Amino acid sequence: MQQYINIYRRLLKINFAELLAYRANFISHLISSCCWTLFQIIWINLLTYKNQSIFGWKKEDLIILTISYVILSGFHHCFLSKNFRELAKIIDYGQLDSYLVKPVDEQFLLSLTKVEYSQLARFLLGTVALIVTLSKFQIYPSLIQILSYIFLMGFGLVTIYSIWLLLSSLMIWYPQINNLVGFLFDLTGVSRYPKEMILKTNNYAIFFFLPITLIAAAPSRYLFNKAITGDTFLLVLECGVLFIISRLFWKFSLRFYTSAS
Amino acid sequence: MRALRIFLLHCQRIFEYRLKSFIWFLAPLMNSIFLIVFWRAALNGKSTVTGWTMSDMTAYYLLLAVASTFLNSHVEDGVADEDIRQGDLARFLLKPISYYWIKFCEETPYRLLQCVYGIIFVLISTLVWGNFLKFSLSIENTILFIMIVVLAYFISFTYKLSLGLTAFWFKDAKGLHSALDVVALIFGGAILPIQLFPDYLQKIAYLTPFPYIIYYPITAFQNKYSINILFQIIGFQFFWLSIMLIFNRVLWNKGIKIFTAAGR
Repeated sequence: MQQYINIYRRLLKINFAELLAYRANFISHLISSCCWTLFQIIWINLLTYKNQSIFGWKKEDLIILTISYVILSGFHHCFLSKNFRELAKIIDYGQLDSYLVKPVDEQFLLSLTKVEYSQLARFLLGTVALIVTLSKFQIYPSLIQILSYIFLMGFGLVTIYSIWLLLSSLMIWYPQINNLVGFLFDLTGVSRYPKEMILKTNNYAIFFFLPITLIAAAPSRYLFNKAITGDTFLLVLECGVLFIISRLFWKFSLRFYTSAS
Repeated sequence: MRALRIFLLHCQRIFEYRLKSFIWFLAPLMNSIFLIVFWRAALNGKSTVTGWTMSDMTAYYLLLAVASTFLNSHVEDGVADEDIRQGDLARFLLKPISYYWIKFCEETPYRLLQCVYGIIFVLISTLVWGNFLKFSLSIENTILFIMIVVLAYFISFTYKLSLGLTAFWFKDAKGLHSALDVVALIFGGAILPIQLFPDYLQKIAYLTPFPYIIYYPITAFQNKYSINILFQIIGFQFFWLSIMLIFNRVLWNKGIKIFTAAGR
């Protein structure tokens, strides 16, 4: 375990050095992540402009849910998503061999090698927006509520990672679909909607997305004091199950890797 | 004729990447489906919101999925990264067809394939969600609608090509592209119909070229305008297309002077 911590510490340093070497690139990506954060906030404000309460969620609850998604996606884009974009290239060009022969777990290396520090802007802007929203709507969560929120956001992050790994493993069989990662961004965006919305549709095809709607909604509920034990339990359970399944599926998919580009 | 041959060659090429193209189509489709589900739940008990029925909303978002894949050109990344930064542009400069039309012939088949996926999906969803999409355009309105669609595509293509050409000056324009993408999504009606925006945002949106790319083609198909208004929309589309073409020419003429491509 210590070996992995040391490797990750080194990786963080290498990525930081890269940031300093390509400063213009960093600033450009920083502007980009600020713009997309702003978009999410405008998105929910426009959708709730004519609707003050939907599916038992008040306007401010839905805004907090979207901001929680922004904070989660900030972490996800910073530490994980770039690696999946690289994974698409690595598989497509047949470069996975070099990762498989290294004396370190290949899933660890492929998932955590790249860090995009500019995406932390989403996390920072999201946190500011969250504080402003909470004080604007006079919601004052207790320390326990805040800690529960942070704790469950961690589970949400692992769930997103597991879904991405599970679906990205398909690229081993179909390397030509390297744009799958683009689709995964939109799939993760489903977590901006509350699960009640899905339940209300009575459409079985959309029920498939139900686990994704727990990712940001379950932690958010703690902030406005509507925590439901069932949702918390479901998120923790789905996080554990998806993590194990994605790991097993990734290992299974590697058996079919042919190494040709 | 030469342009047509290039176009047909690219048509053959896109069928090599059918699955990849389908995945590109899935992303806007999923966004649209969830927005429909959102409004279905939000409008529960109410039949309309500012004159828009649920049937209108469903049709709007499904047509949005089709329009945003068909009418939204994505030529800018290829132009910026492959042609300008990697120097591939050099091979186009000696060709007897202008760069604008070469790129147009490359890009359009992809958009047409996406449009085919969209039409298939709309037909399937009509079976699932009921007959919400009623084609009620008269012959004159249909002709004007086709003109609006063609002009919308040209505006989108010229705008995105110009965006790609900014790579002559910028090493990495991701920030600029994202900022403009966000503005285009909001004012293009990708979140909700512009008519449902707050008044001040509506006024700003109508002053930009973005509603003329996605929003007006969709609402024209929904038969929301009289013939006079359709002519006005076409007039404004010509105006924006002229501005985009002038801007494109200026960028090209200035940019090509500073372009260098090295090789052995």
